[in-house]
Amino acid sequence: MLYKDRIGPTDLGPEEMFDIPFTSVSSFVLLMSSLTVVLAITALRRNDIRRSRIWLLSTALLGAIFVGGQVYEFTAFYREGLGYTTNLFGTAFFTLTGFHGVHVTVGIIFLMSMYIQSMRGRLTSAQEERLEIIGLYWHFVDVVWIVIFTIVYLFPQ
Amino acid sequence: MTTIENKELEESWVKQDWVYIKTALILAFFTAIEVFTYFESVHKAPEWLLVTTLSFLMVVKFFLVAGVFMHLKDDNSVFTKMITMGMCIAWPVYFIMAFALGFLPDWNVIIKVLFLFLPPGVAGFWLGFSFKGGDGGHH
Repeated sequence: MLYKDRIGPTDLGPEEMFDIPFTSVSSFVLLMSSLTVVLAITALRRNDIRRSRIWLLSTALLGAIFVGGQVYEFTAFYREGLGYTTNLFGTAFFTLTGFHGVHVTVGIIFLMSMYIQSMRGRLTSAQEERLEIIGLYWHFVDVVWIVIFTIVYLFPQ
Repeated sequence: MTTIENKELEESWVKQDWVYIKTALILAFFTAIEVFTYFESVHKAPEWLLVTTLSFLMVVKFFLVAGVFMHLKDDNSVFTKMITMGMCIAWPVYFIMAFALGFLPDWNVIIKVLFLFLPPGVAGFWLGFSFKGGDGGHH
């Protein structure tokens, strides 16, 4: 995070590269996925399997939209000339947001496995703790993004 | 379970869902404020003011997700103490490094010192208060 302003002799820095309205929508999508995952857990707790499945799938879908947005952003930056080794900003940016993207992707895999288990009738209120743990993982991914979004994208350069 | 008990349980679930929905709306509102600071007119504000406002909103959002969605507020208070102590250590380490490497060069020294010691000071005070106040949790 300390290195995000170190752009070296290039003009490929945060001011030139970031599309804040686009990333804000991605952030909003990820924040809302934290809501859908708690709704999935509470639905399962009350044994409302159908609603739990809908919220689970919604969470995975919102996560996929976020990752899709990140892939789009990475591709756009790369086309504009910002690679992993271009400058310290590029290295710091791709490392931080890339690791976060991997965590979100792992979370989507967890959520989809829960959804498949639910479809097979193996996820009922008796196994609520499993979904609870995945929910905690998902929220952690969300709080990490809250910090990254503020410090990397929004702090003045 | 009687019909009345069922109804009460159903009402408590609906109430709980509303707490989550309201929290999500507050988070969205805070995010909107954060994004607003990025606009050019707001960017003319002093850097220290922007960083302080954004840091404050970030910490509030962090604790809203941890407290409500991750139910830290309902868990045993030892978890809250652990997370607060970690932040009390992380904050000064981050900013001492930032000062030492000259990442915040234009700030007034008094503001720098305040920014460094105020958040851990407040957190430490609150931590001491919570130790005095008992366990604060039921899980």
